[in-house]
Formats: sequence, C-alpha cells, structure tokens
Amino acid sequence: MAAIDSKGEKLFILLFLLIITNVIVNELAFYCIDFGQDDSLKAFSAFFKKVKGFYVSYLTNIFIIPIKTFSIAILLSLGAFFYDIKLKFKEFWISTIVAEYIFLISSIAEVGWFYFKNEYSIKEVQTFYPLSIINFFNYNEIDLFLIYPLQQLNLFQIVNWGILIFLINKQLRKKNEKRLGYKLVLLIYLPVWILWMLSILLLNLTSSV
Amino acid sequence: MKRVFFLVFFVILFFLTYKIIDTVLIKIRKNDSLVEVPNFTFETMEGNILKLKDMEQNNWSVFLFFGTGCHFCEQEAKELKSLLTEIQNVHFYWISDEPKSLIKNFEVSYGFQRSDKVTFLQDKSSKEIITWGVSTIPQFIIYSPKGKLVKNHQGTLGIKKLLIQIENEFKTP
Repeated sequence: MAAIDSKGEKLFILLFLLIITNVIVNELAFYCIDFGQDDSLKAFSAFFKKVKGFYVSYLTNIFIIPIKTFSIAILLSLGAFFYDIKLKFKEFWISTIVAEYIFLISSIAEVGWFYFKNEYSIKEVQTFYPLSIINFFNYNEIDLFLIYPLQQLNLFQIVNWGILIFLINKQLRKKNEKRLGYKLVLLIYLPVWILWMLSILLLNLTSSV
Repeated sequence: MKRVFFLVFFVILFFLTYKIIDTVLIKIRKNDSLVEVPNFTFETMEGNILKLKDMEQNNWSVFLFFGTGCHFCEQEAKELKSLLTEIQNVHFYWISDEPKSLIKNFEVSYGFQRSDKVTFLQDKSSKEIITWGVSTIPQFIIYSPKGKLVKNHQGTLGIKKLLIQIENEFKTP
C-alpha cells in the first residue's frame, strides 16, 4: 500500500513539475522572442498577450499534458494486455510523463533559435520546430494543413519513443520479465500515433478546401 | 485480440489515406478552377452588386478576406492606410461575411470610405467565400491585371511585403 502511495506521489510531483516547467518555458518564449521587429509580429505579440498568453501557457499545459500522457498510458496498458506484460497503469503513466520531459528541450531550443536569430517572419515563428522535417521546406510556401504533421516528425519524438522503451524495459527488468517495451511502443503506440497524425492532417485539409 | 487491433488499425489507416487523397484531389481541382478570376458576385457597402468578371482589368487585384474583430486584419488595415498614397495599379478588395454595419464601421474607422484603391464587399451567405476555399482570416488571393491567379496566402502577410512582392516577383515574367 505504501508503495502504491509513493508511486501516486511520484506521479503527481512529476506531472506538476512538467506542467510548471512548460508554463515557464512558454513565458520565456514570449519574453525572449523579439516581437518588435516586424509589424505583423507586433500584432501577433498583442494577440498573444490578449488571448493566447493565458490560454496557451496555462490552460493548454494544465489540461493537455495530463490528457496526453494519460491517453498514451492507457494505450500502453492495452498493449500490455495483448503481450501479457504485468505492469500497472500508474507505472506506464509515470514512464510516459518522464519521457514527455524531452519536449521541454525542444521548446527551449525553439526559444534559443529565435533569441539568437536576427530576422524572422511571423510565419517562421508559427512554423518552425527544432530538428523536424518541416525545416526542409520553405516556410512561406508550405500549406497550412501540412504544418502540424511535419512539425511532429522530429528527432525529439524519436528520442521520446526511445526513452519510453527504456523506462518500460527498466520496470520489466525489476520484475524479471521479458523486456518487451519496444513491442509496446513500436507496435501499439506508433501505429496509433500515425493514425492521430493522419486524422489531424485530414481535419486541417478538409477545413482548407 | 492482437489481430483485432491490427485489423482495426489497417481499416482506419486505409480509410484515412483514401479520404486524404480524395480531399487533396478536390483541393487541386478547386485551385485549378480559380486560376482565373472566378465569376463571383459580392455586395458593396452602397448596396450595389459587384461582378468580379466585369471588373476593370488594369490593376492587380488583392482580395483580402477578413473579420472585423480579427487583430491581424486590423494590423493589415493600419499598414494599408499608411501606404495608401504610395500604392499604384493595385486595388484592394476587403471581403467579409459579417453584417454590413460592422464592415462599414471597420471601413470608416480606418478612413477607407473615400479611397478609390480600396473596396469593401460583403458575402452575406458566405457562399463565394466557401467556394473560393477561404479557410482562415486574413487570407490573401491575388490576381494579375490579366486576371491570372498569382498568390493564395493564408494568414497574415504584411501589406508592405505584399507590395514589394507584386513589384519584384510577380511582375517578372
């Protein structure tokens, strides 16, 4: 019982820290990116202050991060059922939250990129994602419906899957079970992730027709 | 159970791929039909009907789809106002499906009501806006003096940048 309680506490602390650091990085992004250089960027800045500043930094992080990690943990639990892996849901959720921390680096890298870059357009601010496929395309030419899927195809996402496999295997090793973390991530999580990306692409595409 | 999971996965994958290809084809066909100024009609603030096909073809036509409460559109309007005296051979058509009173207020608040380079239009039923494939505001659709589509830009652009593009990129054959 004590072990369950400590896992619950660990989960809560990790989740809380993830949300707080995300909020801080978002705030940092707002103050570090020089919005003053371009008229349309100024408008973006004012819009961000007026509406998005609150929603993006607080509401999205507070709701999206728990929902996202919870959904992935459910998916992995489903996979565990298929492959007869005896890990608890909480253990999956903790692994998912820890793996999610990698995206903080991508956010910090994004802030750094614009902090040191001299000239950029609003389209670039909206489109750029560090170490992603989207950087091979011309920001001004790219169709809006392609932005999200291309941003999500990035190195941090691959590292996130790697960390997830490592953490699941680590927990399985403790229980002297076969290390099947890669099966859960590559055969269960990855296909659903692909479907998610295609669904968003279709949704954006339909709204742009 | 595993088999059911993968079966469901492939069925959904097939469905999504089919729908994406189908929608892309519709988008391509729609874009092809808009290569020339379409035969759309809009209502001016004075209550007249403006047929795009009947417009004078001496100027570059910039169709700017906007919303009166859109912050980026306000920014574009401010920029256009400041550059209005320098603009030549470009006509701006601001189009919205909002009530005419709101569009008129927007026009007056930026002092465009007396300008011969800016026309505000209403598409009450949103029919033409939808057919044109406008999905964001602001959205810029630009036609050359010969009535050929040169740019379809979603999101904010900046009037100054747009004018530079017209001057430098689009005019070169």
